[in-house]
Amino acid sequence: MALRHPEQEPMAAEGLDGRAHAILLERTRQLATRSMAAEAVTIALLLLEVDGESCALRVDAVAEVAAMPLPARLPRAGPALLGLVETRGVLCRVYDLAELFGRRAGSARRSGGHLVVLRQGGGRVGLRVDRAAGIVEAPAADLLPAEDGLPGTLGRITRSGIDLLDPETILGRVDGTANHVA
Amino acid sequence: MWLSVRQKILVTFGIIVLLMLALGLYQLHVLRTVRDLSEQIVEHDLTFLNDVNGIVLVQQQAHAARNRLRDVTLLAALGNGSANRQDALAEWQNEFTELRQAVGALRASLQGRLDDVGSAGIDQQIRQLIYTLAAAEDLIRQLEPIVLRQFDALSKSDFAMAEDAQGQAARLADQIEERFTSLRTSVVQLVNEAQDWIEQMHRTAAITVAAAFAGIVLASIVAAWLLQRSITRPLARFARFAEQIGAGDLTASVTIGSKDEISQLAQHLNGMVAGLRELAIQSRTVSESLNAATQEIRTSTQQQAASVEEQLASVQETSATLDEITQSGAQVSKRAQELSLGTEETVQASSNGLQAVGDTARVMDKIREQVESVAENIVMLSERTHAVGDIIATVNDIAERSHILALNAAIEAAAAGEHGRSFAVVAAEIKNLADQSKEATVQVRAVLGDIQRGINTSVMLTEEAVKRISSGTAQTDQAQGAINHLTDTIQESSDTFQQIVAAINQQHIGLEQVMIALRNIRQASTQTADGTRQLDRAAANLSTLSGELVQSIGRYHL
Repeated sequence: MALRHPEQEPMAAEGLDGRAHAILLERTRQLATRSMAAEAVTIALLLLEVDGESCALRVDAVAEVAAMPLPARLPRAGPALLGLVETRGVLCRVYDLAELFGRRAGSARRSGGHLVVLRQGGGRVGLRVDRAAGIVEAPAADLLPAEDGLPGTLGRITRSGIDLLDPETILGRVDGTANHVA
Repeated sequence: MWLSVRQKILVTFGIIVLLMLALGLYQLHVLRTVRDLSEQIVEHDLTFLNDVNGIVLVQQQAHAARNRLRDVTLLAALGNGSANRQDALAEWQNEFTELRQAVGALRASLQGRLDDVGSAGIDQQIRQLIYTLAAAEDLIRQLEPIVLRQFDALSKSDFAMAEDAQGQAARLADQIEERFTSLRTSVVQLVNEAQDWIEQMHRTAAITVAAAFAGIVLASIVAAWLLQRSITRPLARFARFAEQIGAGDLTASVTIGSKDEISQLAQHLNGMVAGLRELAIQSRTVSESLNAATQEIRTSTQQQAASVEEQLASVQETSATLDEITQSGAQVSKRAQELSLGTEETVQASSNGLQAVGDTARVMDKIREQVESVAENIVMLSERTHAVGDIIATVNDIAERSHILALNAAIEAAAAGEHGRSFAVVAAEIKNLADQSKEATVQVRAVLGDIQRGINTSVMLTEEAVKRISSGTAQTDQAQGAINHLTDTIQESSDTFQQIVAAINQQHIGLEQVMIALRNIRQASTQTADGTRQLDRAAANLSTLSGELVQSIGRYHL
């Protein structure tokens, strides 16, 4: 357990934090394999959890991840547009990603979750996801088109079966949705 | 003149006895006569015959002596001495004299018998013998001189003379021999004559005795017929009378004209029949009454037999029921004794329970105090737990922020390109730490939730326990009171059970006595049933007998 007290570890007797020691070891291992990985073309992906499913965005398409603040509701907004929030001094429209893909039935809105601000559009578009799980490195060769994937996906990571979302498509949908805004 | 039967029998037998006595006397007379004659024949005739034989012997001896004398004389004449001649002469003379005397004596004895002879034939024969003996005696006397002369002539050797004398003597001797021979014949004739006379007397006596016996028999037959006639005729009448009486005709009577024992017997028989008639009348009445009474007895004995059978069956049923009651009573007694022991144990247990209840009350007070302190501690622990929850929330928030921060760092590192790759590693590590912290907070929150629920449950349980302890204390007090009451009740129940056990024991003893009495009653009932059956059979026999008695008495004509 990560929360165990250090004195319970056997390596505490060496005077070095066992957990820190393990982190240093892992870090050393990853640094040692970096040159080997650099030779293969990889893409960094931000894993997202939306309505019980996993999807991903390229990390370079994301400007910021933050805890979902309480958005300011917009009148006559569509079901996908949750409202406006302020990030880094910029008003950002927040859309519900599941609503955008028509995954969520009804108009039940969920509190909490994470806000993913897209780099494209100048950080003015944010997506509300259930959770931004983490960042993974995937080989670019594993990215293959998928016929049955989510609409607007770039492809699918074949090893993990995760669909890679296309920020352009999302923005296109956002614009479509934005048209609904008066 | 009326003679009694006894007198008649005495007279008849007296006559017969007298006749038989006369006949016997006559037969004695005849026997004595025959005996006398037989004695005469034995004494006289046989003696006489013996004497005759003796005389013949003497005569033969004299003849021999004479021959010897002649021989001696002849020898002397021839010159052979003379001494023996004298002896022979003397011998001859002696023999001769003896002969003559014997003949004389015999003749004299015959002379004497002439007086005793009762028969003319015998007397004539004796006289003939005397005559013969006299002639023989005369011849003997004539013989003596001739013999003497002969010897003289011989001695003188005058043989011619001697021969002449010899011839004379031989003739005389032959005559004497002839006389003796006729004498024997006469004696035999005498004996035959006596036998003929005895035979004649026997025939006379036999004829006389036969005639007298025939007369006696005839007289006896007549007397017996008369006697039989005087006895059997009344007896035949008595027999017919007795036959009538035997046939049941008690009205008959008998009458006899004579005045002897038979008439007395007739009177007595008539009196007896009259008594029998009265007796039969009484017997008929009594037997009819007896028959009716016997029927009543039999009816009552049958009823009694039926009632005794019912009584026996009832007694047996009662005995069986009493057996069951006795067994159930024994079981009840046993159970009651067990229950009594159980109640004593219960009393002991209740006192122990009372003490335990007191202890329990004291322990429960202590428990209540402890539970109350536990409740306070739990409340305090709950408050602490809430504080820990707040801390966990804070930690969770920090972890979440760290997570986001790590993501942003990674994004920024990605944006930095190759220069941010090391930073990306650090950001990933920070993200891992943040994720692990968040997972840990989630786990701690779950644990804290469990602890909180447990504490809430403990608080509720403790409050419930406090309530229950209070309720238990009250119930303990009630239980103490109830146990006190129960102890008193059980003690009373124990006393009551002991009384019940004693009563059941007495009841058992009484039931055993009742059983013995019932057994005796059953035995007596069985004996009574047997006696009743015997009485019934006896009554049936008595009824049959009384019926037969009535029937037999009904035969009599009264």
